[in-house]
Amino acid sequence: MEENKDKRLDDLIRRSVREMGLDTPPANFTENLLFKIETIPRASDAIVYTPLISRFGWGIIAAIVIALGVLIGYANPDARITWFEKINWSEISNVIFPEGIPSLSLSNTMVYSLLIFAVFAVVQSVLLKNYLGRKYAIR
Amino acid sequence: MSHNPDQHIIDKVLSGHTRAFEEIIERYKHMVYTLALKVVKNREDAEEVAQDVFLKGYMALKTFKGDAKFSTWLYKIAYNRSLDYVKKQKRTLVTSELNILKDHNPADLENALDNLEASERKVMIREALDALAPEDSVLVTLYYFEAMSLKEISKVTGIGANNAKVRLFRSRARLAELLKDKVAPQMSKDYGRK
Repeated sequence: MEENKDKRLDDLIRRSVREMGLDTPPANFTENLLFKIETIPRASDAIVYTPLISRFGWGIIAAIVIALGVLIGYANPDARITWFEKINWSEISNVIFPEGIPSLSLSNTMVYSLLIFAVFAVVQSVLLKNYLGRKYAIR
Repeated sequence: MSHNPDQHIIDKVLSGHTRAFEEIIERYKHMVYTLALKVVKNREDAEEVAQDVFLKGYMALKTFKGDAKFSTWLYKIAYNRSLDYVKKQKRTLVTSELNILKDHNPADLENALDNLEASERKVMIREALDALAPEDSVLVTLYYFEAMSLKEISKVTGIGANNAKVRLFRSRARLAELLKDKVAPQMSKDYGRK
């Protein structure tokens, strides 16, 4: 009995919903849409970002650098960078800081606060980047 | 070979015939617009959402794998876009009331509805459908108008097939209640005549 009622109600609702039909969008719906679609640049037309040096290229460069290092090491085990040893570092520091390197003494509190500030700045930049990335993402 | 009746149009669009997409729009615009309207409850907004749905569909056409019907895929976009739109407008969806259902006799309701003028009947049904929660109204439209299976509805809305079945049962009973309230004067008139 109850099952019959449910079936009858089911049929009634089906008939009613079908009789009511669907809503009709405005007359120029399709035209407006096609216009928008035709103005979308096709994916094939867009310039796709490609790195100047490909992964393969970087692999080759890395291999060459490693091979050169190994080769130099094997060819001349006593190789030393002589020009580096000849640099007079004190002379350079005198040019940059003619009155000597200034001594900067900071209290512990100052050091801790600077450290905390740096940590917050780093965290915030990551969070901000994600937030702005989501906000202005093109979907 | 694909069993999807829209596949040849999709292939045409993908091969660069943009205008072929017109056939897709013409075929589905009514349902997409109706689904959007059920959720956003405003004709201008529904038009905007429906346009957005087709644009998104066009741009993501390459990702359509054909393992579900194209209509199911498109309606899923429509449903999600409509919900997103409401969320973006910072509006909240009206949730369904869980009324304790009174005993109803579908035959009385059917007679009363049959005695109405077709136009009057359509208005009453529309008002009753609009009084349902947006998600329930979408379920009813997909199930009764589009004759979608519970599994397909589950794919479109993201709710489980069993959950969809329960909600459909409740929505049907709620619709009967709403329609009964609307046609009550007519029913009492008929009863007086007997």
